[in-house]
Amino acid sequence: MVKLAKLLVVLVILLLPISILSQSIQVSGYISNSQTGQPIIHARVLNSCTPSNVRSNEYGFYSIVLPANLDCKLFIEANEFLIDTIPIKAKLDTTINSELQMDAKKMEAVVITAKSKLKDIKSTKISVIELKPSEIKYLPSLGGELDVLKVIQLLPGIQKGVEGQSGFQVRGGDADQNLILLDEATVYNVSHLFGFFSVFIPESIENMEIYKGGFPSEYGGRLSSILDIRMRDGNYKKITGSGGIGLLSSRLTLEGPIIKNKSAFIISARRTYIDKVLKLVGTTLPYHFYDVNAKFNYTINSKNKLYYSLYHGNDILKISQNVQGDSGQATNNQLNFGFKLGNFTNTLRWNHVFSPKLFSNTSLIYTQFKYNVTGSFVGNSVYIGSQIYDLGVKQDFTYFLNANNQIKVGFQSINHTFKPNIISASGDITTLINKQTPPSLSNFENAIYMRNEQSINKFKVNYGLRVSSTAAKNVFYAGLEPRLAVAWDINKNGALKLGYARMKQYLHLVSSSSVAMPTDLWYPVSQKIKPQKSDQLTLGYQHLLTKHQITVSAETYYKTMHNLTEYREGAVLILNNNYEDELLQGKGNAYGFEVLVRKDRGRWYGWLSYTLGYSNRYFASLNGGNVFPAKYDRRHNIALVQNYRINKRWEVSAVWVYLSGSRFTAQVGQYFQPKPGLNGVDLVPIYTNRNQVRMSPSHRLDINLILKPKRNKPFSGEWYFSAYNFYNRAEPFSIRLTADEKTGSLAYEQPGLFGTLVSIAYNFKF
Amino acid sequence: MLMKLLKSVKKLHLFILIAIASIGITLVQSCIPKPLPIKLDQAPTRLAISSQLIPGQAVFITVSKSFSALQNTDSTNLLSQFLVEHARVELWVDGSPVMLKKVAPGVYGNFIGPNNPNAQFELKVYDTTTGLSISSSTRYLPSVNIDSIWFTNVILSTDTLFTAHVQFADRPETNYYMINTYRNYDFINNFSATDALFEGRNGVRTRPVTDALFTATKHVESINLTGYNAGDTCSITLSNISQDYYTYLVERNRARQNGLGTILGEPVTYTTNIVGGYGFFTATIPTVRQRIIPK
Repeated sequence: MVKLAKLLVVLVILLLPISILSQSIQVSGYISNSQTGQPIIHARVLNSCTPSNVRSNEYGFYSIVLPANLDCKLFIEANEFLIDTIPIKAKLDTTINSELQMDAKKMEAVVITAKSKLKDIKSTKISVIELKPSEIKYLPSLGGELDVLKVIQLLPGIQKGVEGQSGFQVRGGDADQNLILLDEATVYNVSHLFGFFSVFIPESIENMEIYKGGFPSEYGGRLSSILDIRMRDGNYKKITGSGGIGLLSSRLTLEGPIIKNKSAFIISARRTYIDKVLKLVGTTLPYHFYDVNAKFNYTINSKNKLYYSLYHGNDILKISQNVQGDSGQATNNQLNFGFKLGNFTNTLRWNHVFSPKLFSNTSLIYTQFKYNVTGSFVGNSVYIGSQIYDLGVKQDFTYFLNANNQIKVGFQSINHTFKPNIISASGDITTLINKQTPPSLSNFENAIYMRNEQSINKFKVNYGLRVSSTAAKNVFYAGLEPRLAVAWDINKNGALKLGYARMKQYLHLVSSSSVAMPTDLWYPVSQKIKPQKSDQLTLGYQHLLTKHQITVSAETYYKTMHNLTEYREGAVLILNNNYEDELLQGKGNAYGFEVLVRKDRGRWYGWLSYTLGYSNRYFASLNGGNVFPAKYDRRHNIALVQNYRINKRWEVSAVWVYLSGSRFTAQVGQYFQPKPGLNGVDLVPIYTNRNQVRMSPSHRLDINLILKPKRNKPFSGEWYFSAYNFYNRAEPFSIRLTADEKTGSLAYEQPGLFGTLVSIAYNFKF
Repeated sequence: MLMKLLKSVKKLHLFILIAIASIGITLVQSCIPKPLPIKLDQAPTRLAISSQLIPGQAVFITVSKSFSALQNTDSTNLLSQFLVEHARVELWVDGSPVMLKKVAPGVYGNFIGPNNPNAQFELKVYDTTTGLSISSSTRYLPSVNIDSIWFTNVILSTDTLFTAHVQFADRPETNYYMINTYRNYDFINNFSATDALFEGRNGVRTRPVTDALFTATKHVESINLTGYNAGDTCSITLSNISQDYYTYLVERNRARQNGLGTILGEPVTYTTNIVGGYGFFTATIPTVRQRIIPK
């Protein structure tokens, strides 16, 4: 660690530019919503004296350099808000807090990013998309509940997994290469009901950004993407509430001041009653889930703020039934089966403004993910459980050096503790299932990082370095992760961009490739299983068509991946503690082309995204040592997302998605083989080459009709009438054999999980 | 038109109507969509081979054909449809030819007498009907003696579980073994290579063993005998096998262990030493012992 710290100091010195503006002042402060006091993330701050502009950070803090003793104006703008114009003439550094007022007209113009589009286009951000729940709330959703994870899968380069899976794939990566952060805490299980609902309650979310390339150095730990979700602070001015009532679940959010303008809270809760609904139609599924989000904030003084946020959620299944005897008579034999799995995340943060130039955030993070499966029958019982505990600290310093340089330096340490496959059993079943409490696995993951965002004439450069390491049992891994993003202002409305990032990953997910389950286990690297590593190069061009306010973005990428994990053929995964023997490591590459065309304003708005993607894998022990396509090597991915405001009260939205089929290893033959004990014959299956078969493409239309309230009343509501998979087409998730009922002949078919689902929901606020 | 209609209906009534209609449609249409058909090219037909040596007596080769995954396997005489009736089966033992004759449908055999340790076996099979052919080779591996066998048991509330302990001397080189256990089957006196194809028996367990983890030259392998009772005859065979065949046995055992098979398991392309075909050609002679499980 000492060596790494020395290295960081050297890097900071090397990267510090020597140009310092003379006779300048630093203007800094917080930007918030005038109605709620909620900090505004990524508001744009411009000025009349210099071409420089900055954005507020994740806590609403900004800092900008202006000439001293000049009459200048600050322009502070954010989506949905009126521009705040502040005249300023100062000799010394000044603090100016800004409260932006909501703009009723802008509120109706739903946009996908919350900042001036042209400034964004000229920025170094590449392969990053920012979303706010308020901007996408009218998109089709099941039960009127915005699902942020489903929305990001409509963006270029991001593919959904097959139906019934919770994961998603980014630019040819695997599902375990995505890091999902909620207020900086890792959320290990992000969905309920096998991917049908995400765990995030929309009313509690303020902002989210997904990085799929061009990663800033403060982010790391996964190869393919970082989804950074920030919770709302709550209302600092008055008590308010919001929620929704749907056919499958309902939710309620309460927020308000604890001490007016100084301290606030927000609490959101949701529970499904899918078990009760299914009971009405005679189906028993004793399953439910719930989520609770909460956040408490306290402004100690103008330089210090404290935040505490938590998320807790569980999926619970409890089956209990009497087993009938052979002749159908009732017995006293009770069969019980159930599972429970859930996340618990906690983040305590302290913002401190050392000076107008230096902003600091310190985060203490505790995350826990647990699942257990229990069963009992006739005096026998089994308990199988797994747990992950993360305890971490993160320290960030942002130094606003001058108009052309903004430096971010920090470190992060997380201790992961894993307790996989804890088994206890009682009764005769102990002869088959041995009690086991495997030793805890732990790894201590560290990173130090720095980056500088610098403007040089027509170029903006964001360059940085992350030095990461992990110490696991008897092994230490470390590595350099250089990062670079360059934007070249080549014309009035466009910019050419280049991004490079090396990423390292010290955890991997152990699951079957056939079916992803929420109970899949995370494991740290070990002596045998080495860290995954990727290098990604992205080239992009972004352009604003000013006449129609249409943003066009095109990117092409090439990514190499090393030490990827796969299972060897015939791997035994269930209750296997010696999982390392089942894992193989190999390499892969992914490349493709993405286009995003987005129209943000007007009665008709939405976006069109297209991805052409290739993803290949090479493992010496798989597929005869030949390169094979990744399971999610889906060639074309199209998403057409459209909203249309019929009038002030009615709005309609529709999403049509098309994906080339995912890959599958299908059985295409069989033969007889005498059993080795010479006691009859086995039928041995013959498979295609690995992932050789491409399943049929998926396409689906979802629609949503929204009825808004007549006018703003203290209590107002919106009705959502939704249809998922409107034309009831199967989205294939596997290939299976089926027999013709009349002839008995067999044929292949590709089943889907969810057909047309019509729902109605009522969302309200007060 | 739509807006006029909406305006003509009172709001509350409209909501109630839509709510009821939505619930109704949801209940009716929330169904699994019709699966999509897909056509897949089937693997070309190839010969599938298995072999059995009878100590000091004979060799038997079973020849069948692979077939489509779309073939319905519920048929009772399915196996006989794919046994190769007219094959030319040629065997060379250390270069000396042995022509095998058809002894049962799909089974070809002949006497070969005692073998030299490490004798080289070469096999060629040609199906005169379809023109399909394969070739393969293997080496005879010396038998390994079983030193002793004993049993232990665990008495449960509803059952008694027996464990067989088999002790044998590991050979000095890297070795792989196969241990089979049979319940109430007179392996020594009643074994029939041809019947073996058609008869399923209970209580047969196969365990592939590698000596990589042996801690002593005299190794004891313990095998749980599920379904055995006191007084049952337990036949135990011990074979010295090749590394490839050991790999194949492990793959097959894993496929069974996975239980849910193709749902949770990974597809497996099974190891084979048949060039141009499937299956395994082995030349191994088991050591056989029979014991009665004590009360």
